[in-house]
Amino acid sequence: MAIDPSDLDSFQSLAPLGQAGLAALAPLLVSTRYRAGAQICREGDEGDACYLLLEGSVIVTKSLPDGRKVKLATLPQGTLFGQAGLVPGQVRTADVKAEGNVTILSLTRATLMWALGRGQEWAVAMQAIVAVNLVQQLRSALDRLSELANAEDAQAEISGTKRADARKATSVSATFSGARSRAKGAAASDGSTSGGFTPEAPTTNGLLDMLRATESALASAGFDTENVEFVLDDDQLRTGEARGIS
Amino acid sequence: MQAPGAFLAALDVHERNRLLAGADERQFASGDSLLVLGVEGSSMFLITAGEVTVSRGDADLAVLGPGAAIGEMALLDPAPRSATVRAKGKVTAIELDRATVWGMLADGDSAAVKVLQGITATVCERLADVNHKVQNEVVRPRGNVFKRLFSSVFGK
Repeated sequence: MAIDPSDLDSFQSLAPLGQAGLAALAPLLVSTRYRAGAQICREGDEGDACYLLLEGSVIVTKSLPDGRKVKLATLPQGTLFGQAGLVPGQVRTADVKAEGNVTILSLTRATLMWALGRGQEWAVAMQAIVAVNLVQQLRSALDRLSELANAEDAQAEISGTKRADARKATSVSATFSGARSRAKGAAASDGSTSGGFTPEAPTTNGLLDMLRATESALASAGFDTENVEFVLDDDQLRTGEARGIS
Repeated sequence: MQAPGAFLAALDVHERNRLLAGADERQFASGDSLLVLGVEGSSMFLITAGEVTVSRGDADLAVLGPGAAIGEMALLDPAPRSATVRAKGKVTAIELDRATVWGMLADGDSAAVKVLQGITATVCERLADVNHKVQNEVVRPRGNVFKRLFSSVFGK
Protein backbone atom coordinates (compact mmCIF):
# COMPACT_ATOMS: atom_id res chain seq x y z
CA MET A 1 0.00 0.00 0.00
CA ALA A 2 1.47 3.31 -1.02
CA ILE A 3 1.88 5.89 1.69
CA ASP A 4 1.18 9.44 0.73
CA PRO A 5 3.66 12.00 2.11
CA SER A 6 0.68 14.07 3.28
CA ASP A 7 -0.21 11.17 5.63
CA LEU A 8 2.90 12.16 7.56
CA ASP A 9 1.84 15.77 8.11
CA SER A 10 0.28 14.94 11.46
CA PHE A 11 3.62 13.75 12.87
CA GLN A 12 5.01 16.85 14.58
CA SER A 13 8.24 15.09 15.39
CA LEU A 14 8.89 14.65 11.66
CA ALA A 15 8.32 18.32 10.82
CA PRO A 16 12.08 18.95 10.58
CA LEU A 17 12.22 16.71 7.52
CA GLY A 18 10.24 19.24 5.50
CA GLN A 19 8.14 18.36 2.46
CA ALA A 20 11.10 17.00 0.51
CA GLY A 21 12.19 14.80 3.40
CA LEU A 22 8.69 13.45 3.97
CA ALA A 23 8.36 12.71 0.26
CA ALA A 24 11.61 10.72 0.38
CA LEU A 25 10.62 8.90 3.56
CA ALA A 26 7.02 7.97 2.72
CA PRO A 27 7.71 5.27 0.10
CA LEU A 28 10.21 3.59 2.44
CA LEU A 29 7.70 3.05 5.25
CA VAL A 30 5.84 -0.22 5.74
CA SER A 31 2.19 0.03 6.72
CA THR A 32 0.71 -2.61 9.04
CA ARG A 33 -2.80 -2.91 10.48
CA TYR A 34 -3.48 -4.37 13.87
CA ARG A 35 -6.79 -5.42 15.41
CA ALA A 36 -7.76 -4.26 18.88
CA GLY A 37 -5.61 -5.98 21.48
CA ALA A 38 -2.93 -7.14 19.05
CA GLN A 39 0.65 -6.93 20.29
CA ILE A 40 2.92 -4.55 18.41
CA CYS A 41 6.06 -4.72 20.59
CA ARG A 42 7.00 -7.23 23.22
CA GLU A 43 9.20 -6.23 26.15
CA GLY A 44 12.57 -7.93 25.86
CA ASP A 45 12.44 -8.51 22.11
CA GLU A 46 15.18 -6.97 20.03
CA GLY A 47 13.82 -3.99 18.11
CA ASP A 48 14.55 -3.46 14.44
CA ALA A 49 12.32 -0.48 13.63
CA CYS A 50 10.65 2.63 14.97
CA TYR A 51 6.96 3.24 14.57
CA LEU A 52 4.64 6.00 13.45
CA LEU A 53 1.11 5.70 14.74
CA LEU A 54 -1.01 6.66 11.73
CA GLU A 55 -4.48 5.63 12.92
CA GLY A 56 -5.83 4.68 16.33
CA SER A 57 -4.03 4.59 19.67
CA VAL A 58 -1.81 2.11 21.49
CA ILE A 59 -1.31 1.18 25.12
CA VAL A 60 2.18 0.92 26.61
CA THR A 61 2.67 -1.38 29.58
CA LYS A 62 5.71 -2.60 31.41
CA SER A 63 6.53 -5.43 33.79
CA LEU A 64 8.17 -4.32 37.01
CA PRO A 65 10.91 -6.33 38.70
CA ASP A 66 8.41 -7.46 41.32
CA GLY A 67 6.20 -9.03 38.66
CA ARG A 68 3.45 -6.41 38.54
CA LYS A 69 2.47 -4.90 35.22
CA VAL A 70 1.85 -1.19 35.01
CA LYS A 71 0.35 0.92 32.30
CA LEU A 72 2.75 3.67 31.30
CA ALA A 73 0.86 5.56 28.65
CA THR A 74 -1.72 5.62 25.92
CA LEU A 75 -0.11 7.01 22.80
CA PRO A 76 -2.35 8.93 20.41
CA GLN A 77 -2.38 9.06 16.63
CA GLY A 78 0.59 11.08 15.35
CA THR A 79 3.14 9.64 17.80
CA LEU A 80 6.64 8.46 16.93
CA PHE A 81 7.60 5.63 19.28
CA GLY A 82 10.03 2.76 19.72
CA GLN A 83 12.96 4.87 18.57
CA ALA A 84 15.50 2.72 20.39
CA GLY A 85 14.63 0.07 17.78
CA LEU A 86 16.81 2.02 15.36
CA VAL A 87 19.85 1.27 17.52
CA PRO A 88 21.45 -2.15 17.05
CA GLY A 89 21.22 -4.52 19.99
CA GLN A 90 18.60 -2.58 21.95
CA VAL A 91 15.68 -4.56 23.35
CA ARG A 92 12.12 -3.29 23.66
CA THR A 93 11.61 -1.85 27.10
CA ALA A 94 7.82 -2.19 27.17
CA ASP A 95 4.86 -4.00 25.68
CA VAL A 96 2.76 -2.09 23.18
CA LYS A 97 -0.74 -3.20 22.24
CA ALA A 98 -3.37 -1.80 19.91
CA GLU A 99 -6.15 -0.11 21.85
CA GLY A 100 -8.63 -0.28 18.97
CA ASN A 101 -7.89 -1.02 15.35
CA VAL A 102 -4.67 0.75 14.46
CA THR A 103 -2.47 1.41 11.46
CA ILE A 104 1.24 1.71 12.07
CA LEU A 105 4.01 2.78 9.71
CA SER A 106 7.39 1.21 10.43
CA LEU A 107 10.75 2.62 9.53
CA THR A 108 13.19 -0.27 9.77
CA ARG A 109 16.74 0.16 10.97
CA ALA A 110 17.96 -1.45 7.76
CA THR A 111 16.16 1.20 5.71
CA LEU A 112 17.58 4.05 7.77
CA MET A 113 21.11 2.59 7.53
CA TRP A 114 20.74 2.17 3.79
CA ALA A 115 19.67 5.79 3.38
CA LEU A 116 22.38 7.07 5.73
CA GLY A 117 24.96 5.15 3.71
CA ARG A 118 23.84 7.12 0.69
CA GLY A 119 23.98 10.38 2.55
CA GLN A 120 20.26 11.02 2.11
CA GLU A 121 19.28 14.21 3.87
CA TRP A 122 16.09 12.95 5.45
CA ALA A 123 18.01 10.07 7.02
CA VAL A 124 20.60 12.34 8.65
CA ALA A 125 17.82 14.56 9.97
CA MET A 126 15.90 11.50 11.20
CA GLN A 127 18.95 10.17 13.03
CA ALA A 128 19.40 13.60 14.62
CA ILE A 129 15.75 13.74 15.70
CA VAL A 130 16.00 10.33 17.32
CA ALA A 131 19.33 11.11 18.99
CA VAL A 132 18.07 14.38 20.48
CA ASN A 133 14.85 12.71 21.70
CA LEU A 134 16.81 9.97 23.39
CA VAL A 135 19.19 12.41 25.05
CA GLN A 136 16.27 14.38 26.44
CA GLN A 137 14.71 11.19 27.73
CA LEU A 138 17.98 10.24 29.35
CA ARG A 139 18.24 13.63 31.05
CA SER A 140 14.70 13.28 32.40
CA ALA A 141 15.50 9.78 33.63
CA LEU A 142 18.72 10.98 35.28
CA ASP A 143 16.85 13.82 36.95
CA ARG A 144 14.27 11.39 38.20
CA LEU A 145 16.88 8.96 39.44
CA SER A 146 18.84 11.59 41.34
CA GLU A 147 15.66 12.94 42.88
CA LEU A 148 14.64 9.46 43.93
CA ALA A 149 18.10 8.77 45.29
CA ASN A 150 18.18 12.07 47.16
CA ALA A 151 14.67 11.82 48.49
CA GLU A 152 14.93 11.31 52.22
CA ASP A 153 11.24 11.82 52.41
CA ALA A 154 8.97 9.37 50.63
CA GLN A 155 6.62 12.26 49.86
CA ALA A 156 9.29 14.16 47.90
CA GLU A 157 7.97 15.88 44.83
CA ILE A 158 9.20 14.39 41.59
CA SER A 159 9.23 16.87 38.76
CA GLY A 160 12.04 15.87 36.43
CA THR A 161 9.73 16.10 33.44
CA LYS A 162 8.89 19.75 34.02
CA ARG A 163 12.51 20.77 34.19
CA ALA A 164 13.31 18.89 31.04
CA ASP A 165 10.47 20.73 29.28
CA ALA A 166 11.79 24.09 30.35
CA ARG A 167 15.19 23.20 28.99
CA LYS A 168 13.97 22.24 25.56
CA ALA A 169 13.23 25.80 24.56
CA THR A 170 16.86 26.77 24.77
CA SER A 171 18.44 23.50 23.85
CA VAL A 172 19.66 23.59 20.31
CA SER A 173 19.97 27.28 19.45
CA ALA A 174 23.67 27.60 20.06
CA THR A 175 24.34 24.51 18.01
CA PHE A 176 22.60 25.80 14.98
CA SER A 177 24.06 29.23 14.87
CA GLY A 178 27.46 27.56 14.78
CA ALA A 179 26.38 25.11 12.11
CA ARG A 180 25.01 27.88 9.98
CA SER A 181 28.12 29.98 9.98
CA ARG A 182 30.32 27.00 9.27
CA ALA A 183 28.09 25.83 6.45
CA LYS A 184 28.10 29.30 4.97
CA GLY A 185 31.87 29.34 5.05
CA ALA A 186 32.09 25.97 3.34
CA ALA A 187 29.68 27.00 0.62
CA ALA A 188 31.55 30.21 -0.01
CA SER A 189 34.94 28.55 -0.26
CA ASP A 190 34.31 25.97 -2.95
CA GLY A 191 30.59 25.52 -3.32
CA SER A 192 30.75 21.83 -2.49
CA THR A 193 30.37 19.70 0.59
CA SER A 194 33.55 19.33 2.54
CA GLY A 195 33.89 15.55 2.60
CA GLY A 196 32.60 14.70 -0.81
CA PHE A 197 32.28 11.09 0.34
CA THR A 198 28.98 10.40 -1.31
CA PRO A 199 27.96 10.48 -4.95
CA GLU A 200 24.66 12.00 -3.87
CA ALA A 201 26.16 14.56 -1.55
CA PRO A 202 23.27 16.61 -0.23
CA THR A 203 23.13 20.30 -0.83
CA THR A 204 24.18 22.15 2.26
CA ASN A 205 21.08 24.30 2.25
CA GLY A 206 18.55 21.49 2.09
CA LEU A 207 19.96 19.64 5.02
CA LEU A 208 20.63 22.80 6.94
CA ASP A 209 16.98 23.72 6.51
CA MET A 210 16.02 20.37 7.98
CA LEU A 211 18.34 20.83 10.91
CA ARG A 212 17.03 24.33 11.47
CA ALA A 213 13.55 22.91 11.42
CA THR A 214 14.65 20.38 14.03
CA GLU A 215 15.70 23.31 16.14
CA SER A 216 12.41 25.12 15.87
CA ALA A 217 10.39 21.96 16.31
CA LEU A 218 12.26 21.23 19.50
CA ALA A 219 11.82 24.77 20.67
CA SER A 220 8.07 24.64 20.17
CA ALA A 221 6.11 23.29 23.05
CA GLY A 222 4.27 20.97 20.71
CA PHE A 223 7.20 18.62 20.39
CA ASP A 224 6.25 16.19 23.06
CA THR A 225 9.12 13.82 23.57
CA GLU A 226 8.02 12.72 27.02
CA ASN A 227 5.08 10.75 25.71
CA VAL A 228 6.95 9.14 22.92
CA GLU A 229 9.33 6.68 24.46
CA PHE A 230 9.24 4.42 27.38
CA VAL A 231 10.71 6.53 30.10
CA LEU A 232 9.04 5.77 33.39
CA ASP A 233 7.01 8.76 34.41
CA ASP A 234 6.31 8.67 38.07
CA ASP A 235 2.76 9.94 37.81
CA GLN A 236 2.00 7.38 35.15
CA LEU A 237 3.57 4.74 37.29
CA ARG A 238 1.35 5.67 40.23
CA THR A 239 -1.68 5.69 37.96
CA GLY A 240 -0.68 2.32 36.65
CA GLU A 241 -0.30 0.98 40.13
CA ALA A 242 -3.71 2.28 41.01
CA ARG A 243 -5.17 0.51 38.02
CA GLY A 244 -3.33 -2.65 38.99
CA ILE A 245 -3.12 -4.37 35.64
CA SER A 246 -1.37 -7.39 37.14
CA MET B 1 28.71 1.43 28.48
CA GLN B 2 30.44 2.08 25.23
CA ALA B 3 33.36 -0.26 24.57
CA PRO B 4 36.73 1.49 24.48
CA GLY B 5 37.44 3.01 21.12
CA ALA B 6 33.98 2.26 19.79
CA PHE B 7 33.30 5.85 18.86
CA LEU B 8 36.27 6.08 16.55
CA ALA B 9 36.40 2.42 15.57
CA ALA B 10 33.35 2.83 13.32
CA LEU B 11 35.10 5.54 11.30
CA ASP B 12 37.39 4.77 8.39
CA VAL B 13 40.70 6.58 8.16
CA HIS B 14 39.33 9.39 5.97
CA GLU B 15 36.38 9.97 8.25
CA ARG B 16 38.64 9.96 11.26
CA ASN B 17 40.89 12.54 9.66
CA ARG B 18 37.97 14.78 8.77
CA LEU B 19 36.65 14.56 12.30
CA LEU B 20 40.01 15.20 13.89
CA ALA B 21 40.65 18.14 11.58
CA GLY B 22 37.79 19.93 13.33
CA ALA B 23 38.79 18.80 16.81
CA ASP B 24 41.27 20.02 19.42
CA GLU B 25 43.72 17.74 21.14
CA ARG B 26 43.83 18.70 24.80
CA GLN B 27 46.32 17.80 27.53
CA PHE B 28 45.27 17.61 31.16
CA ALA B 29 47.44 17.37 34.27
CA SER B 30 46.46 15.14 37.17
CA GLY B 31 43.43 16.61 38.96
CA ASP B 32 42.38 18.93 36.11
CA SER B 33 38.66 19.00 35.37
CA LEU B 34 37.40 18.03 31.93
CA LEU B 35 33.76 18.52 32.93
CA VAL B 36 32.27 20.14 36.00
CA LEU B 37 28.93 19.03 37.45
CA GLY B 38 26.25 21.66 36.93
CA VAL B 39 28.29 23.76 34.48
CA GLU B 40 26.89 23.88 30.97
CA GLY B 41 29.21 22.52 28.32
CA SER B 42 29.08 22.36 24.57
CA SER B 43 31.62 19.71 23.73
CA MET B 44 32.46 16.05 24.23
CA PHE B 45 35.82 14.40 24.88
CA LEU B 46 37.29 11.20 23.54
CA ILE B 47 40.04 9.98 25.85
CA THR B 48 43.11 8.95 23.86
CA ALA B 49 45.60 8.40 26.72
CA GLY B 50 45.37 8.17 30.49
CA GLU B 51 42.44 7.72 32.84
CA VAL B 52 39.71 9.95 34.22
CA THR B 53 37.52 9.72 37.31
CA VAL B 54 33.80 10.40 37.00
CA SER B 55 32.24 11.69 40.22
CA ARG B 56 29.09 13.24 41.52
CA GLY B 57 29.29 14.92 44.90
CA ASP B 58 31.48 12.79 47.13
CA ALA B 59 30.82 9.61 45.19
CA ASP B 60 33.27 8.34 42.57
CA LEU B 61 31.13 6.70 39.92
CA ALA B 62 33.64 5.32 37.44
CA VAL B 63 37.18 5.35 36.13
CA LEU B 64 37.38 5.53 32.34
CA GLY B 65 40.35 5.02 30.08
CA PRO B 66 41.41 5.39 26.45
CA GLY B 67 38.53 5.17 23.98
CA ALA B 68 35.94 6.40 26.47
CA ALA B 69 33.62 9.17 25.37
CA ILE B 70 32.50 11.67 27.96
CA GLY B 71 30.08 14.57 27.89
CA GLU B 72 28.50 13.32 24.68
CA MET B 73 24.98 14.42 25.58
CA ALA B 74 26.06 18.05 25.30
CA LEU B 75 26.66 17.56 21.61
CA LEU B 76 22.93 17.07 21.12
CA ASP B 77 21.26 18.88 23.97
CA PRO B 78 23.23 21.54 25.81
CA ALA B 79 22.52 21.49 29.54
CA PRO B 80 24.53 21.48 32.76
CA ARG B 81 26.93 18.54 32.99
CA SER B 82 25.55 15.59 34.93
CA ALA B 83 28.88 14.71 36.58
CA THR B 84 32.39 16.00 37.24
CA VAL B 85 35.22 14.34 35.32
CA ARG B 86 38.84 14.79 36.45
CA ALA B 87 42.13 13.60 35.06
CA LYS B 88 43.70 10.79 37.06
CA GLY B 89 47.30 11.33 36.13
CA LYS B 90 48.20 12.84 32.75
CA VAL B 91 45.39 12.66 30.20
CA THR B 92 45.18 13.36 26.50
CA ALA B 93 41.74 13.83 24.98
CA ILE B 94 40.20 14.96 21.73
CA GLU B 95 37.60 17.66 22.20
CA LEU B 96 34.75 17.79 19.69
CA ASP B 97 32.50 20.76 19.88
CA ARG B 98 28.85 20.99 19.06
CA ALA B 99 29.06 23.61 16.35
CA THR B 100 31.69 21.65 14.44
CA VAL B 101 29.84 18.35 14.56
CA TRP B 102 26.49 19.89 13.59
CA GLY B 103 28.21 21.79 10.81
CA MET B 104 29.58 18.48 9.50
CA LEU B 105 26.11 16.95 9.81
CA ALA B 106 24.67 19.80 7.81
CA ASP B 107 27.23 18.91 5.14
CA GLY B 108 26.04 15.30 5.31
CA ASP B 109 29.53 14.20 6.38
CA SER B 110 29.54 10.47 7.17
CA ALA B 111 32.10 11.02 9.95
CA ALA B 112 29.60 13.17 11.86
CA VAL B 113 26.77 10.75 11.09
CA LYS B 114 28.79 7.95 12.67
CA VAL B 115 29.55 10.07 15.72
CA LEU B 116 25.81 10.74 15.98
CA GLN B 117 25.09 7.01 15.78
CA GLY B 118 27.73 6.29 18.40
CA ILE B 119 26.18 8.83 20.75
CA THR B 120 22.69 7.46 20.08
CA ALA B 121 23.83 3.95 20.97
CA THR B 122 25.58 5.08 24.16
CA VAL B 123 22.58 7.15 25.22
CA CYS B 124 20.21 4.25 24.54
CA GLU B 125 22.20 1.94 26.75
CA ARG B 126 22.42 4.45 29.53
CA LEU B 127 18.70 5.18 29.22
CA ALA B 128 17.88 1.49 29.63
CA ASP B 129 20.23 1.30 32.61
CA VAL B 130 18.89 4.44 34.31
CA ASN B 131 15.26 3.46 33.72
CA HIS B 132 16.01 0.13 35.27
CA LYS B 133 17.43 1.84 38.33
CA VAL B 134 14.47 4.22 38.52
CA GLN B 135 12.11 1.25 38.49
CA ASN B 136 14.00 -0.45 41.26
CA GLU B 137 13.91 2.72 43.35
CA VAL B 138 10.20 3.10 42.78
CA VAL B 139 9.44 -0.54 43.45
CA ARG B 140 11.56 -0.91 46.56
CA PRO B 141 9.25 0.79 49.09
CA ARG B 142 6.40 -1.48 48.21
CA GLY B 143 8.68 -4.51 48.20
CA ASN B 144 9.67 -3.63 51.75
CA VAL B 145 6.06 -3.26 52.76
CA PHE B 146 5.35 -6.73 51.42
CA LYS B 147 8.38 -8.07 53.20
CA ARG B 148 7.23 -6.51 56.43
CA LEU B 149 3.73 -7.86 55.93
CA PHE B 150 5.16 -11.25 55.12
CA SER B 151 7.26 -11.18 58.29
CA SER B 152 4.38 -10.09 60.44
CA VAL B 153 2.09 -12.80 59.11
CA PHE B 154 4.58 -15.63 59.40
CA GLY B 155 6.42 -14.34 62.45
CA LYS B 156 9.73 -14.56 60.70
